[in-house]
Amino acid sequence: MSAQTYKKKYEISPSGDLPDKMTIYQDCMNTFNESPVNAKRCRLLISRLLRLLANGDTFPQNEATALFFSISKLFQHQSDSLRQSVYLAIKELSGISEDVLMATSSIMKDVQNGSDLIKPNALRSLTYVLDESTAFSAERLLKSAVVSKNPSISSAALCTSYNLLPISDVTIKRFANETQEAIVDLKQFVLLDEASEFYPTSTFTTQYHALGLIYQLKRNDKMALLKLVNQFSSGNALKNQFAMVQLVKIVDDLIHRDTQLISNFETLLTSWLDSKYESVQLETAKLITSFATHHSHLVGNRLFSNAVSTLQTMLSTPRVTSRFAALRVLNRISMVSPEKIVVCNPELESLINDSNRNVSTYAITTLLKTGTAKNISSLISTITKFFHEVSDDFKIIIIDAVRTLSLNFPQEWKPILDFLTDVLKNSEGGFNYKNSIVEAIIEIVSFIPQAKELAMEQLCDFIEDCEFNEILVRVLHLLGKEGPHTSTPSLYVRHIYNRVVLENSIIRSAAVVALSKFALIKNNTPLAESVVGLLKRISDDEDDEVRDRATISLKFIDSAKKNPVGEELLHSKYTYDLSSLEKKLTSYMSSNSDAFKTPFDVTSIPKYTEDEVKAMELKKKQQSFNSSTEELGTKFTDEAEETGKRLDSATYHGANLDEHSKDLQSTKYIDELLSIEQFKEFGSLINSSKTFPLTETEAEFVVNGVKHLFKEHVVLQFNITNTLTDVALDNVAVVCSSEDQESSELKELFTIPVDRLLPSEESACYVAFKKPEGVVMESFLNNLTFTTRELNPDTKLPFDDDEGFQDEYEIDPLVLNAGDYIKSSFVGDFSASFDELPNENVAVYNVQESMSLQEVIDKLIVNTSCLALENTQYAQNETNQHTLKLFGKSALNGTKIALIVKIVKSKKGIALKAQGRGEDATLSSDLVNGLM
Amino acid sequence: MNTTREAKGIEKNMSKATGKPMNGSTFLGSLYTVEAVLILNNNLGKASPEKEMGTGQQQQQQQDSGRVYVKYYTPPHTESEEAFNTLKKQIAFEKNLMSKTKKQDNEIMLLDNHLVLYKKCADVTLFLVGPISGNEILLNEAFGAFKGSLELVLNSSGIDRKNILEHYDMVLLAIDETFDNGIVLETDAAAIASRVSKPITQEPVQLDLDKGLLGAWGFAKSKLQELQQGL
Amino acid sequence: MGNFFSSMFDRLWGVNKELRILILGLDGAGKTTILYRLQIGEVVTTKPTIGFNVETLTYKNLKLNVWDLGGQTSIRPYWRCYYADTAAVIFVVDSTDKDRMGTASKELHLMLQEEELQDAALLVFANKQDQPGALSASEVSKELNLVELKDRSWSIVASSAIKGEGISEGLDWLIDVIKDEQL
Repeated sequence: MSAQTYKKKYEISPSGDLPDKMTIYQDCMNTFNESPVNAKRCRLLISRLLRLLANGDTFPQNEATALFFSISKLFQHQSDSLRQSVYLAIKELSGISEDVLMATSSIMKDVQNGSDLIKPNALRSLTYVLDESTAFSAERLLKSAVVSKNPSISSAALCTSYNLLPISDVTIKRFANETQEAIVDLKQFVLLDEASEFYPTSTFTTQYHALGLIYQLKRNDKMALLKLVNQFSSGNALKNQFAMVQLVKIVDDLIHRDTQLISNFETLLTSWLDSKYESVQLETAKLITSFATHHSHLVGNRLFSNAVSTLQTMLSTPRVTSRFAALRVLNRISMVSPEKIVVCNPELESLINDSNRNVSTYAITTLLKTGTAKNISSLISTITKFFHEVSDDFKIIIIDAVRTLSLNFPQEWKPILDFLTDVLKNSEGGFNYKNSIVEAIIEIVSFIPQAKELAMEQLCDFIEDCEFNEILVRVLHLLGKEGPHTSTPSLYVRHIYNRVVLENSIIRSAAVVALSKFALIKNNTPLAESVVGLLKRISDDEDDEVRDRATISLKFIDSAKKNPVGEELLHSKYTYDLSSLEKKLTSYMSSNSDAFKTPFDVTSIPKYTEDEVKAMELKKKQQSFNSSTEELGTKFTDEAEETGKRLDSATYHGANLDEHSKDLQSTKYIDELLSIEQFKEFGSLINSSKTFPLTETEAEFVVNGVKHLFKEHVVLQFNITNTLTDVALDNVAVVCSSEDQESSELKELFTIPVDRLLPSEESACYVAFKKPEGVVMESFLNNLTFTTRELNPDTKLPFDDDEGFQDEYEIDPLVLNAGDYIKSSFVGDFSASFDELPNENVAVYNVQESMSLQEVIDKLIVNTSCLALENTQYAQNETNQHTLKLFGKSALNGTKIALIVKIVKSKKGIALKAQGRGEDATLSSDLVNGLM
Repeated sequence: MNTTREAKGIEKNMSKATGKPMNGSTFLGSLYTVEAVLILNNNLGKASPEKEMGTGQQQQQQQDSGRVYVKYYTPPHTESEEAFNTLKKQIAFEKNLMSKTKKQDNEIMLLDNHLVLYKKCADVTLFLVGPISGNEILLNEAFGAFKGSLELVLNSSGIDRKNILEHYDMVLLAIDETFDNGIVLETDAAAIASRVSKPITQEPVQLDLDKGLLGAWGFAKSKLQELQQGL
Repeated sequence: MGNFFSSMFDRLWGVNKELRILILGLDGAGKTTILYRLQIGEVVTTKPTIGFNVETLTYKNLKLNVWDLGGQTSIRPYWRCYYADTAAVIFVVDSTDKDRMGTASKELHLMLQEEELQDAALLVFANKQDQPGALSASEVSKELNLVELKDRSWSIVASSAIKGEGISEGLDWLIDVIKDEQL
């Protein structure tokens, strides 16, 4: 081999091809074990080795250990240049090697006697080489390094200590004082090489490391943390912005532990909003605004608006990162209290055209949330101007934001609908894009009655030229559902029939079904007859499915004239509870006990009317609008190309996993209830409440309750979890005593206790009462009774001969009130519906507790089980009064009930005036008089 | 009604018994503010155009994964973050990163619950990844240190793939001096660069002039030794 | 072939070669003290060596690469990783630790059976002579069964690292032997 080839072998080839793993291994083993050490080659080889590891390759443990040992031998060479590489290698290999403790002595020696260049490297490598048993031995070294005047050395020791906390906090705590000193001490950077071409500046980052470490050491000591904040918030104690932001985070921690503290920090926070460091301003603004989301009554208006104006100023900085960060916070605020950031609208508007796409997207979506009834039209026109220049992804995000606008400001539907129609007609786009627009329009049709007909017309125009089957089918279905109730059904019939004539078989089949719904419109026999005629023509279609559907529809129409069941099949007024249906079907399919001879029993599945369905949908939309704080972040990653995601995830507003599991849970409880023999004779279930807690979550016995209502019975279900680890509970039951025994209308029938509850088990016990028909209200005091049995630690079962001892445990009381007899219901025009209802009742309440407006509203919604309409479920932050509009219907007889509650908060407390009307007089009166 | 994840997160992560910090970088006030540092090829997944002459098998192994340098940080002595704990997840994330930054250079973005700062430099892109709840401006300072120190260490040659690979040892050291397990160690690029030792230029050849010929023979001898070991 | 050349060259021009020497022994024998005694001529305060200490020193115009390996039970298994290319082994014994002489002897003989140490010379320091109750060098020699050693140059020297006695004598002998046999 010539010398040239030989030399090249050891260099990293500029083409960047990866070295071969085995070659590297051999080269390393040979070169590192050589004597004398060729430092230049060793450092090069270490780089190649590390490149291999960075690429994701790894070595089996024996090889890694061999490499580690060989590298550790390089400590014999004194060159700092080689030594730095050795430390890199030690750190990388320590994760995959054994016995890395062999390097300990050498490292400790470097810590003590190494050059100032090497000492920090040595200190930081200790993180990987020490373990629980050896960490204590480094105490002296670490402690003296922490107080070194050289900031690199001090920081290295602090970071290592921080890294070692999980395995040796006792050792680290021993030099807490030195750590605190390191915050105070302003260590100037030491330039090691006088001839260096660099001009470093001191950043005092050591303050940050020391403060971070002290914070960890003193986390459980609130007083110590307060002292820390006091000490370092004054004057120029902290020079490093990371350290200052760290202090802000400490304050954040403190106010979350004790919310009352925020007032103590008001001056400090205000001064931080003026910090010369944007990072500090940002962190403080984040703190204030997110704290205000849950504790709005504790954050003064002045502080909040200060935070907002700080963010507002940040919107105009030249630094993209700062604009982005400020926008993120404002966007989060806009989801809860958009009116508070309306003041930023001018800046937001100018950011719409920001060169950075992420910034401009955030700006628009925030703007759309701050839209008030007054400026929606101007917002929409601003958006329209640049809408066509942006990408599909971005367009979808805007459409979504516009859509939520439409839900919140139904009176402003016109400019919104115009915008949607315009973009639908005039812009090119893929399936996701078009679909999101159509979904938005469909929502307008469903929830905004005044816009319905115009929106539907637009959809009819659209389907004349739509290339996506799925969308067409969806629109046709909607036309079939809503069309018959409009003033001009024949218009829709015409549009639908055109589709039958012109489109493919999938569309035709959907069109047939839609068409058939028009055949049963009362008072319009000519139309009905022409529809039947059209259907007869379609029965000659060349496609099987189309013909079948037409034929079936004709048969149903025919029988509907004689029998209402047929009408029901065509024009169903009910839909099934899907989660319950799914569950029952799955268990039916998997049980197969008698080869499916017994047909599937559909009567046991709860059904919902259309307005109930709409109510639930609206509630979900309202909640998703408010819940996630980073929905924008996840929206950025939505791509249709990504596998496994819903195609309509950009527009899907159905149940998320959380809600779905809650739904499943209530279905499960209902199933369990109905499978119990004793309850079968109670008849069908009228209503079940949601699960509500009756104890603290950290209690020894966690209990939550469910109220089930039958026609003449009430069953209270108590789900009990035994959180103790060493006792079992036998014969667990709840004793419910009515508060007013004398005049109670309920008669207790029987209790079904839980036989045995082992540790961590959860089970349900029931108490059944007889009640007269109609609305019955009652308050119960509840006591959990049980026998504790100690467990044999070996068998984990109670001792046989131990009788245990009886005990009681008081849990929260529960109330059966009017709201339990009510289900949420949706209505398009609240005022009109309210005016139509009879039986008005008025009641006045005074709430003494210091609740916030929002908390009162939430409680009312829960107590009445009604749906809040016209976006009145959110209190505005700056006001002291609010009007809540609620709508529902009786679970017993389906009659409507509506409630307007005016809430005023003053120094004396909270005053409520409730005005309720309902078709059912008793229910209406009970509801209004039993609100709080 | 309004309970956000943030408030819940704080309660969940506070250990009542000991002062022990919780796993991962997501708890409030943690120093672990950086989750990953990456230098990726702009042509992700394509094999390098100039190949060394090697066997076919070698060429297969040298298929470029697009990584020039990659480091995912986990707080030591704790459970690793689920997001990046397998090679598969990492590669998927990197692919995602490159596809999202292919067309524009927006400097900052949110991806999959992470904050990402990035900058394109010739034929590679530099990335810094942090938790989504982080302070963007601080992360930007860290990014500036990362990029700035690389520029200083690579001298006038600039940041590109060839230079990085040629001075890989210095690049590794610079990044090591900037971040320690996800803790931002230093933010002044010159300070970082000044702590990066240069590679050894030449092994000191013991030319002892007093020995004269003997010394020269010694030199020849060591060279011959190298040759033998090469055989 | 290569080895022949290099060993031939070494005989002729042994100037630049580094000699590799290991200091082994049970924990607390005095290995680290001896190492630094050799290197800086002073007595340093030592901690138990977890791993190894390596120092380069020049002794009589020879460059010595001296490795002091930790003697704790958990670390002894790793001694083998350092045997390659070793010119000589210095085995240090605590002459007052009578209870563990047997263990010391066992470790010594085990080590000497390794192939990589076939050609290595052996110097034994019967250390801590300054302490009361220290066995003499010949007594230690008996305890260690040094007589059984065949095919190896060995010597035992009474020493006190703290007092600085016996160290240079021992090393002088060792270097001479190495020069004779290997260079």
